[in-house]
Amino acid sequence: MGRPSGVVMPKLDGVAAEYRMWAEDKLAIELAESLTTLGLAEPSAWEEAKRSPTGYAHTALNRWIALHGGELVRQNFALNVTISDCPDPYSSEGERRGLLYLLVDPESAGYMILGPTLEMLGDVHPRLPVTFYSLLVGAIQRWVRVYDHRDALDRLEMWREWAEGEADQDEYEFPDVEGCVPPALKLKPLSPWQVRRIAGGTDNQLSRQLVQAALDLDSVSRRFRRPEISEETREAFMDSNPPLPALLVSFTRQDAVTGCFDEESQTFLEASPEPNMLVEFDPNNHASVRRAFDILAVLCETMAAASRLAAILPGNTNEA
Amino acid sequence: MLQRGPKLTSTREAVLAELALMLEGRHPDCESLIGRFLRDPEYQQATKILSNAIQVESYRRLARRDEIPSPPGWLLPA
Repeated sequence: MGRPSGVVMPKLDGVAAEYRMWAEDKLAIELAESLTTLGLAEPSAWEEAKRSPTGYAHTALNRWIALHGGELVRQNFALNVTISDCPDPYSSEGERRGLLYLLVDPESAGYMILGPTLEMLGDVHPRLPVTFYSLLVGAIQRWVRVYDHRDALDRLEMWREWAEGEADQDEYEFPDVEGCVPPALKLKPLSPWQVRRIAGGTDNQLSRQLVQAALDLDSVSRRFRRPEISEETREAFMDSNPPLPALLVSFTRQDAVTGCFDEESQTFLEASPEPNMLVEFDPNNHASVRRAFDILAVLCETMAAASRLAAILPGNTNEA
Repeated sequence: MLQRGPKLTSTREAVLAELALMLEGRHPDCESLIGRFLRDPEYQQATKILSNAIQVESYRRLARRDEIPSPPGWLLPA
């Protein structure tokens, strides 16, 4: 038997069984501090988040989304909001020291059928359909990608170019996108004051309601400009696909636009897509955090206003 | 007289104070293992004992195992 070494093993009674390492979470702690100072996080959520800065910031983000129409947004859109230290969730490129990125991306595309609405508005004024379409799609497109007949036409042109080199090009059948676009969409949109005058003068209550909702949506969407992605961050998306559409707009169910979307959607994820919206911010700078959250608020309110409008679109949900 | 229990909801100031401690690495919840190691002589001694024991054991294993070629670019242990 060996001689005792004289060394006493330390007692482990009372030693904490769990340690948390925050070395990688400096940005999360800074963000939690800014959110608390700015009143964007509720201190009462600190205990619920088990004193975790990440969980606390997550709760604050969810609360902010709920305050700006999150429930309404979810009725028509499946959007994910993420705060990350990396601009591209599919790779670790483009990360910049000390910055965080607020990213918005769709999980799947929402769907709006506008044919019956445009037909009804055309009875009020021939240029009202194109005006309504521009207000609705333009407002949503300010914040997220919308797939509509223009994307379908681009796709069609590409297919035709591909077919041109083929020997059996006559055997190809292309979807009739041009044929499914209402002719009224080729007219010039009305000015806002003309729209208000025409909508105000019609007896058709639903038309009036729809036009007012579209004007409101347009106004909400303009409260902030979607921030441009900086050149440094853009480098992370050099080989990326375009952003995933957050909304598909067609004229009737199963029309040529929907067909092109279904076909094109097979390749959407062949390369990692660019985010629909990206805001770079410094978690240690209160003004920068405030700006990022204000931008997110406008995006949420725009999508909520679009959901409100979608709920009254004739034929949007039960058209056969 | 009845006494009120401890307040469960954190105040803004309390949260900010905790976050400041976290940022400086002085919060009890986020005390790093290295920080504790530097302050605690018993911890250091225990670590040394374990380290020596592991080293002895690895020498024994090395002596027992058959020699196998090292992967290209690797240096043999001194």
